[in-house]
Amino acid sequence: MLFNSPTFLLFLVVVFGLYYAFPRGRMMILALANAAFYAYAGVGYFLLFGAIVASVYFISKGLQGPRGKLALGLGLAVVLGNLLFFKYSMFLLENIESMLGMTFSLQGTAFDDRMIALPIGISFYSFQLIAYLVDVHRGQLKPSRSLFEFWVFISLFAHSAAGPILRGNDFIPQLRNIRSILFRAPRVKLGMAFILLGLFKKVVIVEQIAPYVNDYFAKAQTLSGVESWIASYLFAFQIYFDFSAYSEMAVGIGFLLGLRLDLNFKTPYLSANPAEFWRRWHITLSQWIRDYIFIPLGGSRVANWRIYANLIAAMTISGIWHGAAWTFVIWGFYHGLLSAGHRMYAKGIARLGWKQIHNNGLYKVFSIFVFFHLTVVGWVFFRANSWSDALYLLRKMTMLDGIQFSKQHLLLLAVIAGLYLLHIMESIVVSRFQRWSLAWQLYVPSIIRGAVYAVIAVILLILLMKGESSGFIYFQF
Amino acid sequence: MNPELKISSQTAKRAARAKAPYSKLRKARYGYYGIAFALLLFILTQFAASYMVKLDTVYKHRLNYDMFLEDAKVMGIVVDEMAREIKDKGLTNYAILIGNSVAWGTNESSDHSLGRYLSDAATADEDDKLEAVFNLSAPSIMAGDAYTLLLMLDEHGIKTDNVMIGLTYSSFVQGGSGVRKVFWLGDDLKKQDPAMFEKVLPHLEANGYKNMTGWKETEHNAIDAVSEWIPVVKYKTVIQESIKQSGKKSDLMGDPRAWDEKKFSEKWITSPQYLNFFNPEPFDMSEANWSVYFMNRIAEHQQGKRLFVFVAGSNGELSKQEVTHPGYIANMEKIDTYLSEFGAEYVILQDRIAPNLFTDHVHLTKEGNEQLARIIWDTWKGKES
Repeated sequence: MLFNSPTFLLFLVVVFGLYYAFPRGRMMILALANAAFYAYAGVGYFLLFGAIVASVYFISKGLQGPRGKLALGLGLAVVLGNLLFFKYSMFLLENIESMLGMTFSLQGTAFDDRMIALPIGISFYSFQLIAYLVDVHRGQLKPSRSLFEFWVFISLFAHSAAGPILRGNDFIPQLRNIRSILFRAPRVKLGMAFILLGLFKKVVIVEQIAPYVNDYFAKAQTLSGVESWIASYLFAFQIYFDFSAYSEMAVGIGFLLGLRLDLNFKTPYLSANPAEFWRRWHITLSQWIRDYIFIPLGGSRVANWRIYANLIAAMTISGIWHGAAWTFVIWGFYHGLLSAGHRMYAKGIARLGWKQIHNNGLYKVFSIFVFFHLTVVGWVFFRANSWSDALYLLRKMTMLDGIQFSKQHLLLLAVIAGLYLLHIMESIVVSRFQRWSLAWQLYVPSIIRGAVYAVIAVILLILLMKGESSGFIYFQF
Repeated sequence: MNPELKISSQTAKRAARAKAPYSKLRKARYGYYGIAFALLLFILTQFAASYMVKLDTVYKHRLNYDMFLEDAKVMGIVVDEMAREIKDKGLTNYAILIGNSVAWGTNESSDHSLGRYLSDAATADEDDKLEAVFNLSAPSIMAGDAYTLLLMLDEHGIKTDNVMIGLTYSSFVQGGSGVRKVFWLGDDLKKQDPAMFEKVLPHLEANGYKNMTGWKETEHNAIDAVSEWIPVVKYKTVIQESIKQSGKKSDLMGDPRAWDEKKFSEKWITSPQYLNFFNPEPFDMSEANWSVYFMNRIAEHQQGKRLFVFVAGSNGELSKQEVTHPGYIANMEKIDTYLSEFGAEYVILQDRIAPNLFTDHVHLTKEGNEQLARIIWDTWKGKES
């Protein structure tokens, strides 16, 4: 069920109504809503999801006992086995075949078309389950009291498809207090504002950019240097607005229900370096990678060369998490190199005693410009349909073949500049949101506010009902 | 006055003043006035949308094809608005024209289309005048669409006492063409005549129709039903296209120049689409041909009512090679024989309109449309056979 579909909005209204009408039955309402939300995508995958959640719940009972390590291993095997089979088995098979120079026959098996449909949200719920298993085993989290509670925690419809990746310590206590949540107008209004912001990003911005991106990447090997840059810039904004739209809607749904879900984005294209970028882009994944991969590998408390290696390894795993293709692996590796390179650079600056340079405004703007372009280069690996397409685009992006602009190119570059401006405006609005929202409610007459809301509702409704809703990019992960 | 009392009174006033902004703030944060006004304005918008969309928003001598192309449900809106206009004006004696791109008027504006000239002739005639001719033609309309439209008209209480059906040679070209015989209105046929829809479904699916079933269909129908109650959603395509078209001076679609004033590339006249239009393979005029099947259903529907069929001709110069092909000639004769046994008045227009009045292989210029309207109207009135 897509957040930008009329069916989902109707579903949300029903859940919202029941949730506040029957406070004692909230857990039951959410449990059923989650089941319905997931079953909508396919009953088979819902049953699989249910089975995985139940298995992990029962295995986790032994995590704090004498055979905790065995339970942890078993739990991880169940979660990773499920993820490996659905997401990576065909990728692994193809690579083994390629190495051996042969093709295994899958005819007569269930996989003769060499495709395995990916259950929605598998990467997200797998990471959430791993975090739960590890936290309980480490004694940092008390296990869930019931399967019911555990199901609501893992499968909450607001985040099960594409995050944010929730942590037990943050979320389970909220569920335990769920009956006492009161209907509070300011919070519900805030939730609606987040949902509208997400819908606006998706139906007004992403839906307009997507056809250009799809068209450009479909004919990647015919693009000029300027077109390659345009395609990559546009994809950079498409993926940002698409994913942040979903995440903001998830946070908005949380507010409607009185639950706090973490924000996943903080205007990341205003980052001046990789470390800052990963504090602002897909924040809950970055934190997960830090806590469950980077730190266990030794984090920053080991020799320098190992820190660099850990950074590269952690980011490469993040790339693999996104998808079973070498382009994702390279994308992750590239970000690992950027992170390691920046750490090295920062150390060099410190050694030279130039730390003050970080306070210079011009240097900051220059850093943001450079890092934004490095990010855009990275997106080529992420979006290209094949490795050869990615290499072709990157070669063209060096502009060694000359620079030629057409009117359409200039128009699209103006659109890209406009999108960046929108990104800056978003940052300004977010930083002053509380003050401006109060001023809006205090000083703008209610009839004008009402008119603005009505216009937004009409425009979004028309765009939402325009045709078949397009999926969110991160749903495929 | 006791100074202490004075101080305490001042403190109370200050406290009240300090309290006032807080209560205002609380009212703003907890109040629902903005949302209430939004709801009120949203409801008013629905009334406004419903009031503003009229027949001339979606129809001018023919349906607005840009809107229809964007969303085939616009045909339903045209029929709705037609029903409203007929009721409002108290019309009782009118005709319905259903045809493909020739009857719609491709390569010409609505002011120079067949619908306009036929309507002019029919409403101006002193002897046997009609109050209106409604042109529900659209490019690519097939016999199955025409049949579905008749059912939709019935549903809306629009009389089908006078019906004109416009066909071309290509209307009878069969299988393998990739053109389904209910081209646009498959979903409507499913609602109007489920049994017939089931029968034709394999043919439709073989030609690209996506039939929704189960939960998806229920969901789709539920959304449609809800949309009917929200005019801004119901008229979303109409509203958006009206805004887009508001700056346009003309609703011309295509190049109105005569075919001999423009170039037709070799690629165009050898394209599969063009050649298939004149496909000389022998026509099967039994009900195994879905066009014949639907024409027969139209004839059944029109029993006791007036039905007139015209088969538009093709350009005898530009498409000389195709229209002089023995297969084409034999098929035209088959159409003639079929229609003569069909039980309706009909006219076959091959070579009745001069080649210089064509804009391409089949569509007509302004003068061509005028002449076609005259022939149709005269035949309808029995002045010509």
